[in-house]
Amino acid sequence: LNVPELRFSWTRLDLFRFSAATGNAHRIHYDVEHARAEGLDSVVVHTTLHAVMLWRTLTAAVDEAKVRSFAWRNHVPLVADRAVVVRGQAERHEGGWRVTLAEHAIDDDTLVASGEALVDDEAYDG
Amino acid sequence: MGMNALVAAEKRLHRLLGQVEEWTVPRVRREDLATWGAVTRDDHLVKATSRLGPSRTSPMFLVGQLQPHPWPTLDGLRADGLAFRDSPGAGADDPIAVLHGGGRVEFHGEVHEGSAYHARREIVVVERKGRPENPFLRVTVLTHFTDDHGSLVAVYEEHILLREVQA
Repeated sequence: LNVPELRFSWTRLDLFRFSAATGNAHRIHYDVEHARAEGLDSVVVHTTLHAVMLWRTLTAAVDEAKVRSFAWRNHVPLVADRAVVVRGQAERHEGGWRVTLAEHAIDDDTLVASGEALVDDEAYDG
Repeated sequence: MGMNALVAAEKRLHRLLGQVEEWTVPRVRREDLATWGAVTRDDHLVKATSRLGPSRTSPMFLVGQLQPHPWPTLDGLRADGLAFRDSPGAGADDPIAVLHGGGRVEFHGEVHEGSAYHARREIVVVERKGRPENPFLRVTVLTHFTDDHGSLVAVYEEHILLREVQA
């Protein structure tokens, strides 16, 4: 199973749109001054978007209906416009696949988020 | 002051353990799926919603759209904009920052256009973590999503982190 790498970068406009679409008014995602007051360099990417990046990389390689579980962990905040690359590795596991995923900042290779998915050979909707 | 706020938050959280919050995710419309595809830059999903026939997607849609309905009114938001119900244990004026540490989703079915979903959320674990000089609270929240027929669609375990705001 080959997991192609995907690259992402989220602008402040992207983050604002995501906040609006999900009803998330948390100011660290759209208010730069507030984000700085909380010790962040700028507005930050939503935790769910980290999950989305890992998930998109995973499902570029496997049918999403075959994914049994998916877990992710955010390691450090990612600010707007900072580009990342997500890479995955798959190994055989109990008749299916275990896919480990890692999201790194492109500028200094910092590990931003990581994840793991268990994938079956059969889709859950049959 | 911050440490006192964290202790107070921990006490509140222990009182919230086991309390269940339930809500309905309204019937999923095609435009909801298209919006989700647009804001996550999922071109495949956006294109799928323009084709004939009902659309479907993974329960990641439910995880992303977790904000319970109806939306909170303005007095339901903290000064940092976060809804009180998304920052369990943190009071309105507490110097507490709330972050999400990650999560885990178990998948049991797909999300279909035209279907409504039921969500049942519960705080299941409250833990004190970190070094003594820099402690934080890790709150584990479990949400079960079921469909119109009561069938389990997904289980979402999320980890919310509460830490004192540095002066």
